[in-house]
Amino acid sequence: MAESLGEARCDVQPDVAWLFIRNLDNWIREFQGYDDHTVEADGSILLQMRGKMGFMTKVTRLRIVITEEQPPSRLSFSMTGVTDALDGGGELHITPTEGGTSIISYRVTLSGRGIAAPVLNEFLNFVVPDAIGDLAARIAERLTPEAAGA
Amino acid sequence: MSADHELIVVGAGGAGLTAAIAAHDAGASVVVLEKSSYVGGTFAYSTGLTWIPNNHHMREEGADDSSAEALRYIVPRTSGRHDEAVLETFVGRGPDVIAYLEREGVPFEIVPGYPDEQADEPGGRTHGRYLSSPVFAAAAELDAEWREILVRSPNYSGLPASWREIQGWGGFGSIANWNWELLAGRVRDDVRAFGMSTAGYLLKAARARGIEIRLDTAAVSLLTDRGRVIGVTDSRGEEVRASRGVVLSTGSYDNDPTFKRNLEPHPPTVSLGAPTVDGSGLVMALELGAQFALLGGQLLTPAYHVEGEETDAGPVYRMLAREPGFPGSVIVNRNGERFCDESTITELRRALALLDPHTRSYPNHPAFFVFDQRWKDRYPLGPIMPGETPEWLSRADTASELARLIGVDEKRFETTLTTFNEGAAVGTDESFGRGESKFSRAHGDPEVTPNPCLRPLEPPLYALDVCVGIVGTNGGLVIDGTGAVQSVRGESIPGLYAAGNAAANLVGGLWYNAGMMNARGMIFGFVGARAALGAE
Repeated sequence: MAESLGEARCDVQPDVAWLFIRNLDNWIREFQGYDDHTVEADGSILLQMRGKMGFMTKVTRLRIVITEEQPPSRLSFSMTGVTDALDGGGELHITPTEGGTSIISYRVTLSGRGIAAPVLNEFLNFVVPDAIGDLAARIAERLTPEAAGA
Repeated sequence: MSADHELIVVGAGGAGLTAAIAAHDAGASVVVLEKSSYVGGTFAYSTGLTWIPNNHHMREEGADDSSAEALRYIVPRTSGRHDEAVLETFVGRGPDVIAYLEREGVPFEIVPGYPDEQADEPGGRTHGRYLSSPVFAAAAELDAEWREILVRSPNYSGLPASWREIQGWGGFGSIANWNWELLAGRVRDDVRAFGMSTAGYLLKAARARGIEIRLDTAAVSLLTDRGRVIGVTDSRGEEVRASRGVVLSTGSYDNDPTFKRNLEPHPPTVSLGAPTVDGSGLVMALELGAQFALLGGQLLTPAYHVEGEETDAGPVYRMLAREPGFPGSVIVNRNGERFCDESTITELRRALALLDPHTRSYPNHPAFFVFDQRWKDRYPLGPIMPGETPEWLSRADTASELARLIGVDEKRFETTLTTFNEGAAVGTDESFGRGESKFSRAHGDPEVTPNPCLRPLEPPLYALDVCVGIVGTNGGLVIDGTGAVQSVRGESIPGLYAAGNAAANLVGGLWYNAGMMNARGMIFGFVGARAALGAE
């Protein structure tokens, strides 16, 4: 299983951050390997990612579906490979600070499935950190009071 | 002006690296110019299979073979287009070159259970002529800089197992039996296999000798002095000179649309090899009046694209070589009809590119690889493992629905499947004899009886577009038995040698088989370099 996690501080209150984060369409582009996406339904997005894998550029599509909402602190989602044998998920946490702002933290995991999963997982260890990037910092960068209000 | 080196090798693939190592070991100063940023060339993209009749591993195992038996097998297949001296070098020197490379740190082993394509014919062998290298532990064997410039083939990077291991695990038809934990550890440790493995060992041997390899340096033209080749002008505009000559190991015209269009009747083809192989070596030699032989041109192979796999040069295409031999599958054309024994790649590649002289069209291109759920659940399709079904694969619950989906003649497709299934149920294929030859049966599923290549297809059905790929060319520069490039007047061009796919396949003439190109590359790299130095 490959994992990416991190956290970043942002200058908005937790309830404002929540309104932004609960909509996947607001922050799906902040995955570093983002290439394109399609909103399939409320809480369900088809994400296309693009990244280098050795000599090859790999384009992969993942279905991201919100599985749990705990306003205003936690959003959980599943990730299922559409083009590749991948399963995973993630969480975004919003933690209030003493100053009334928020800390955004995240954890995303991806695993291969099927008989070649051990090999796939080794490749994922190489590519997942680049594909996800510092998701928290990129979301925090977007989450200015103006953007959140919009 | 004094020469910088004694020999220049253009191209750092299997042929070029072998030539450089042989030249160094003959006491010469040698430099390798490589157009791309990577080492390994077409060899590293390939399966790594290397076809060497009468090799010493056969003798060690007590397998009977000889040069005479190899000639008995090869000569009837060349349509009289081989060159006696070139063929003699191939058959006579091949075993010695492999033994030499092994002594110098490039190991080979027999691929078990891999017969000649027509092993039943006179001179054919069921075992021993196919060699490949064991896996190459790149992280342990090369420093970080050179490890990164060793080509990572998009076809085989996820499968760090040797041919010998794979055959020992039951082959590609028994993928559930493979040691996936072992393979995962090897991915972690950057272990290479297939063509990358042999290329890795060759690179290590070249590095150990301190051979200079100039990356991102193309040779643009040949320098001559009174008719003798004395060097090249490189892509930086600098002249690089060599007192004994130049070995061209640039590959052929795999990615050059002009060569392909002007020379060949085939439908559009896609290259499965190194993207920088573009005919540049041929052009340099043709400018000096070199003789060119087409010999059937491109080395065709059925190919397919897995959605989402790309390189900077465009979509990645994979070879569809093993998959069509497994039972529960057929290949059909737009008319919904089968057109060959799908388990024998020689038949498949010929039929795919067939030009109908009456209609001036390609009746079998594009084609469609059709397989059923049991096939999908048991066998791999490139990187798609058994049981996995990506949404981009065409899928249908009936034959007629699949026919409509992929745009083939519905009625004929249904008839094709009905006829095929009736025969497959009792292990026969009266139309094309699938599963009758030893080669064909070796590419089936040994657990399926009575014919390892045949089983009726049962819905749901899947389909995959099949296109015509190439892995090199038979066409190239005419050489003599020492690898010396011949002029249009039939004389050697002094100081100019060709090896690998830059040279015409004067071993096989109009014929070729898997592993012959890799073998030719190393044999004529070795012989040509030594001949240039006067060591032959």
